[in-house]
Amino acid sequence: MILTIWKKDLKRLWWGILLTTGFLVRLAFLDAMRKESMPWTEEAWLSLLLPLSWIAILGMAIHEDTPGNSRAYWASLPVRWQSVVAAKLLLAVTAILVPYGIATGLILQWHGLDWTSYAVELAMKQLHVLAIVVLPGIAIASLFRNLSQAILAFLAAAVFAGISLEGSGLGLTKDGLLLVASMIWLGLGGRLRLKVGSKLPGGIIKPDGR
Amino acid sequence: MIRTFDLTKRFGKTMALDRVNLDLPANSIFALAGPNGAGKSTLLHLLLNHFRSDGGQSEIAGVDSRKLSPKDLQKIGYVAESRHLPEWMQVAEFFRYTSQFYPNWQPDQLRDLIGLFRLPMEAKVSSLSRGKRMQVALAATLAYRPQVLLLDEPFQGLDVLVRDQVIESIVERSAESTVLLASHDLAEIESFATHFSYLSEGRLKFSGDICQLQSEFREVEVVLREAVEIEVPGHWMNYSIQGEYVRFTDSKYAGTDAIRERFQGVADITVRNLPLRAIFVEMAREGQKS
Repeated sequence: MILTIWKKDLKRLWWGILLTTGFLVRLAFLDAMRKESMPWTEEAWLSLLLPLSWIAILGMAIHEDTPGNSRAYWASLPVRWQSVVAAKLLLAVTAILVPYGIATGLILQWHGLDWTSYAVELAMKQLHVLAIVVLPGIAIASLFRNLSQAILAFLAAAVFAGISLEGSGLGLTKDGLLLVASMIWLGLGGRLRLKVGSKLPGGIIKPDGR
Repeated sequence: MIRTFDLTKRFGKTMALDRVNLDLPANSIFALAGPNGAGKSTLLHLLLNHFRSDGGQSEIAGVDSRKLSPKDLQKIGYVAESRHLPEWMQVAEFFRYTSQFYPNWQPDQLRDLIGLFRLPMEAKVSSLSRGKRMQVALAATLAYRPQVLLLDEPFQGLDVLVRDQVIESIVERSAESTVLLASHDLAEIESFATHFSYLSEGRLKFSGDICQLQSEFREVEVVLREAVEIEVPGHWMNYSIQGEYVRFTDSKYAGTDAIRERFQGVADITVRNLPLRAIFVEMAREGQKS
């Protein structure tokens, strides 16, 4: 059943996945070609656009089968909610993590480095994308029923995390702080919406089922 | 097939269902009526384990709702007007997608339903009218021959012809399924339901077969020789008296003699049968009063 839902999402979102992979390839190419990072260049814009387009893909996939929504089509299908979440994570792996992993490996290759020597660092990058983009993206998309709201919420979370980073004297690293922020978001999402079916808190769905 | 025992559900301070007891006989078409917010949809959601109950329990297809597994859900069909279908899919694609979840999927059955409903297989779900969507959802559900069929407002927004088709397909399959149907549309329900229950403010006011209901409910008009105050029994609903003229709905009608015994000096009694819709209205009025 996980594969059935995953294939359905791939069929629906292939164009978005193709577009984000295009952004990623271009970004990897620009990264490999440049010597110094320049603000407000094509690369900077793509760096902003890429996570947002990933969030949009995740949002579209989640909104069709929102785990906590009893009106969603999947809710009456013979499927456990865990399978739905697993299918969405599988989509994230296919559409985001695998292309990102290949792109970062290619950047190293283009810089004349052997990517196998940096396997641990590459794996850590994957974990960062998972923690900073994928998991908060799923949590936020589950919280907000409207895609634009979900993207705005993600942006707000990112800005909040950025401001906290600037103003914090906690000595946390940037990645560490973002990881904490994303975990808070994920926890929030998990509390409110990801606990579906019998575990769903009554206040989220109105008495008439909406 | 479907049973509830003191089933209770609260949403904050609102009591959505208050100790509801139901027992649906196998192969019955059981209509669940009641005003908006009476708890009809909540009851269906509890049966499907979409919500956790706050008290009591429910069984569907012989299984405790809280323990429904995907295998059990393969025997249950659920069609609701409010259900979100995948809008971007073509109708044919939607059937292909749904069929993968049901080992008992029967293409011949689906073909018949596609013919009966004249479904446009190449059209996108998003382009379908409300009636066609309902037919698509119903076809996708009946195609796996569920043992239990839950329908939430299936006639809402359907034209007369489409309603007839939907009813026809439900009745045809009722020999092998137990149907629980939540609807306001009493005129339609009356024509084919075998059992009826009435929910008001989360409480079950009546539950039984339709023949029994119709034999028990009578509209009664009494003309007295002189005005008199009496103690009104609980089963006389919407009792009103104006001078010598009395009107009420008897929900446990047992003949005119029982009515005569209550009054002294009855000049005339008129008793009328009530259609289901009128019974529903009387119940709703009584509910509002109480």
